[in-house]
Amino acid sequence: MFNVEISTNPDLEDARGKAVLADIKMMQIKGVKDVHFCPVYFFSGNLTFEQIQTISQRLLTDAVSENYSIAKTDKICADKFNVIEVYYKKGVTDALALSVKKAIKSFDLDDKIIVNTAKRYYLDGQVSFGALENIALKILANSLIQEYRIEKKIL
Amino acid sequence: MKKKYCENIALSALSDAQLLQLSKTNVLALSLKEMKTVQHYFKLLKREPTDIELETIAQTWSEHCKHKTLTSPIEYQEISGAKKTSHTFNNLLKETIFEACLKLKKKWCLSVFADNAGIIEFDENYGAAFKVETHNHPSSLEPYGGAATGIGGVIRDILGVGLGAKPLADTDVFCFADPKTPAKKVPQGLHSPRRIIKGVVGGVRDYGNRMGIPTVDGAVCFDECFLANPLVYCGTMGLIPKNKISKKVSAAEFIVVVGGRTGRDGIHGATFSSVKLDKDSDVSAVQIGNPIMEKKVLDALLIARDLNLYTALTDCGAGGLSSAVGELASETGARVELEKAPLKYPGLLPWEIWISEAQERMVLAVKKKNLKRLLKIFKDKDVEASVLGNFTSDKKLTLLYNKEIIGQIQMQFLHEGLPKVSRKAVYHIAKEIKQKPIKMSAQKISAMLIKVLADLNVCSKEWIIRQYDFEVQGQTIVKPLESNSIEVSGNSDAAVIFPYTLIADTKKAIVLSNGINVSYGKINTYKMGAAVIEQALRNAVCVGANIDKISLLDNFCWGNCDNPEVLGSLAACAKACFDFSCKFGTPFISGKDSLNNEYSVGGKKFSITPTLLVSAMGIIENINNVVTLPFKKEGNKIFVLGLTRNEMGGSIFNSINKISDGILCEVFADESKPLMQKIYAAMQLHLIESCHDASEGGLGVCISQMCFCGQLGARIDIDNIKVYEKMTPAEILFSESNGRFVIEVKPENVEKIYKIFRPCIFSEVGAVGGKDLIIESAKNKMKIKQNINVLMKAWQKTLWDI
Repeated sequence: MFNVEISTNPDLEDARGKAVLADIKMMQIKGVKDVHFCPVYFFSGNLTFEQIQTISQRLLTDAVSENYSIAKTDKICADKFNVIEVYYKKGVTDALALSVKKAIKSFDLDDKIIVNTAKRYYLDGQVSFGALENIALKILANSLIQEYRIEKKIL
Repeated sequence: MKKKYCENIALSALSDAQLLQLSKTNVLALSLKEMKTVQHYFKLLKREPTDIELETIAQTWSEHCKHKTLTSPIEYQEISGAKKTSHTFNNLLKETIFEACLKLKKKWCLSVFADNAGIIEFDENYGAAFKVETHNHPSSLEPYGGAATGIGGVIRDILGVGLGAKPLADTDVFCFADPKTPAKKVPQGLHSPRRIIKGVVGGVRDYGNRMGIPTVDGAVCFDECFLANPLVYCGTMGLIPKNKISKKVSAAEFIVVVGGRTGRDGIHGATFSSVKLDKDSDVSAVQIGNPIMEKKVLDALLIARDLNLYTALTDCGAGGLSSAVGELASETGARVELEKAPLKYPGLLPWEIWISEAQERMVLAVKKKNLKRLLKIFKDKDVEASVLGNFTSDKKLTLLYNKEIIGQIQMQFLHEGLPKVSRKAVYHIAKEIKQKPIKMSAQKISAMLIKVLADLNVCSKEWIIRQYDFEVQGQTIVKPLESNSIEVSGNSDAAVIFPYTLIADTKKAIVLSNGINVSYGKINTYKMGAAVIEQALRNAVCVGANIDKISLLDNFCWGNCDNPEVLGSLAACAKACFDFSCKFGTPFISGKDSLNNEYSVGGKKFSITPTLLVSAMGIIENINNVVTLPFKKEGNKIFVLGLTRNEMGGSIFNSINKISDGILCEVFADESKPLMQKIYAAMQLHLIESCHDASEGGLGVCISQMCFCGQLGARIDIDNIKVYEKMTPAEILFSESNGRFVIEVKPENVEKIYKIFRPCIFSEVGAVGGKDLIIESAKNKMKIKQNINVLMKAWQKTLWDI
């Protein structure tokens, strides 16, 4: 199992992150200084690290504006930021994952590979768990079709 | 006999109460009379229905599919003071909206109320198809997905009209609550208006943009009544060759489903749209869209259409396969093998496969000799196509799963068996009283003009429009935002699509516009109906449409029609549709209704104000004759066409100033129709430089917009504006009388304009020039002066910080 996280080049503005920050401010939740948005792709099946590297470079990342990192675990690293990860409930169609699955056919890969996606939001600042939950529910996830997990920053 | 793949539902022994309970628990949305009709049908067959049979009937008989409220008998009573009049409609839809179309007998109407969309003639070879749908309930639960599948669904309506039209443009109209509504005012279990707005706009944006179809026209209304029930209207226009308009299914043809796979998404969507929402509403009714899939379906379908590889098609909308196959096979019969439907994941029960509303699917009827070629085209485009069974001649719907018959219903019963229920409807015509004369100083009027321009219902919707690709396909000639300069923009009256990439050497174009007004509906739905019809027509005429060749679509969004008062307001509005469709000579060609827009939580009911959206589609003979709204040149003369009456009822001015009195604007078709004809004639001679209609906000807003998007000021003498009765300057500027246009004319053409427009009511009121809007009245010793960029900023900024 691999997970590939895409982040915006730090020299460029992270528009999605900024939009979420504006929403948080609108809700009058205090303490969040900045938000970074990172799409995440999960791959499981018969894959090598080299293959996942190729997919990340050639398919998932825009080399000019984005960077990628590959991890072998789905554990979220919350040592610098609070993290909220949003993903679809089981049974809900993940159209993005379907497109990725179609696209990786051209890399001569095993077609039994399972692809899932998620959205990760890194929130900079001191915020309570309750406030994070509120942000998740009111701004980032619709509990009707999505689930979320929260990792509060390690103090 | 015990069946393996379905359950028998013991219906025969159930009491009335139990029947109703079953309808509720299984989200069938059937009334007691309907449940008893079903019970009786199966008693005659001497057996119990299976789960899939009951579901099929519920889907087919849903409000969404059969429009039972609008097509059932209605005993209508109208009460105006002490005067009472009664009328019985046997079928409201047929006797009003449809009747107008029959009465008008327009030869250019090619397909009306018969197919997935209405079609009018574009030129000798092509027809133009237009359809507008609502997707309110799903959008309130999952704004992004609900709105995306709304636009996806109406695009499929255009793909599924006749043998398929090519979609050229999308439209969208939304009704929301104020985005700044405080969190504590939002009822439990609902999203905040701000989240709904962002989600809905995002959904339409992503689906439309990814399909490569421009979103070109729309409107956004704001009112508190949409807090629990936002309205999302999505429309699509397309062109279809005239020889592809009719479709016919024959026995033995294959039933082929193409596109996306079937999953558990959107189960009970059709019946769900007919029930009132509460906080425990069924969640599986949400569908998820995939525009990339739909784009591939579109491409493959049009290739197969041009090779004549299928004889009929329709889209899978509400009710999924059950509605699509049921509709296509209504004259023949069908045998469907449900295990052959490709699934997103295993584990679906046969009835779930049958009624799932998974998106991006179409059903085709294919002759045996064409099957191989058709399947190859879809394979090459990477779209799944599967044979589900075949059409038959037995007039029965037979459903199988792994060779076991799990359902068999006669088409006759399915389509004609729905019992008619007579309903009562009452409409109280509210008495309107003229407000006290509105006396304001020049300074106050100037400040009020800024407030009106900044009002949510008038302000610029640029924040939304700029998210849409309104230029893709390169055929949008009049765009949603128009101006003389790149830094500014004003809102167009209508969009013009010039389909030159599809039809080489054409000069013709298609106009799309709309009319909607929520505050009029609160006062009088008959007048509201009339006003929004005229508004849609005026908008189309402003850019150059010929009033003698405009067609209309209706979309009724109403509250709970079990309430006679609510149903009465609907019948009154439908009457207005008949009256004014006839008076303007503009037929309705298609429509849709969404009733029961009501949400209850904690014993409190939230219902919407009756809201009719009228969308217009017109044809322009010569693309060189289109006109836009910005003032073009200093020195040009300004004319106001039409008569201003003291009609402040329901106006933006009244809502800002919390004035409840006022006469609601009426439509005088005998005045405005000749004006519209003359505007068209003048445009053919290039005598009009710019044109805009006065609607929400009145003449003040109309002239301000023409000024700032042209970056040119104007000097207006209000004493010259033709009024019906004595009015104060504020009343003249903010009254919302119908039938008024402002046009700009070159000095050398003024004489010709007088010649053309006589004997209509109109007058020359001023000239274009400078950087200020100056409004003067010698009679009232008044001079209002405001910089045009101050007006523009007020108009632009309201929605920017959303």
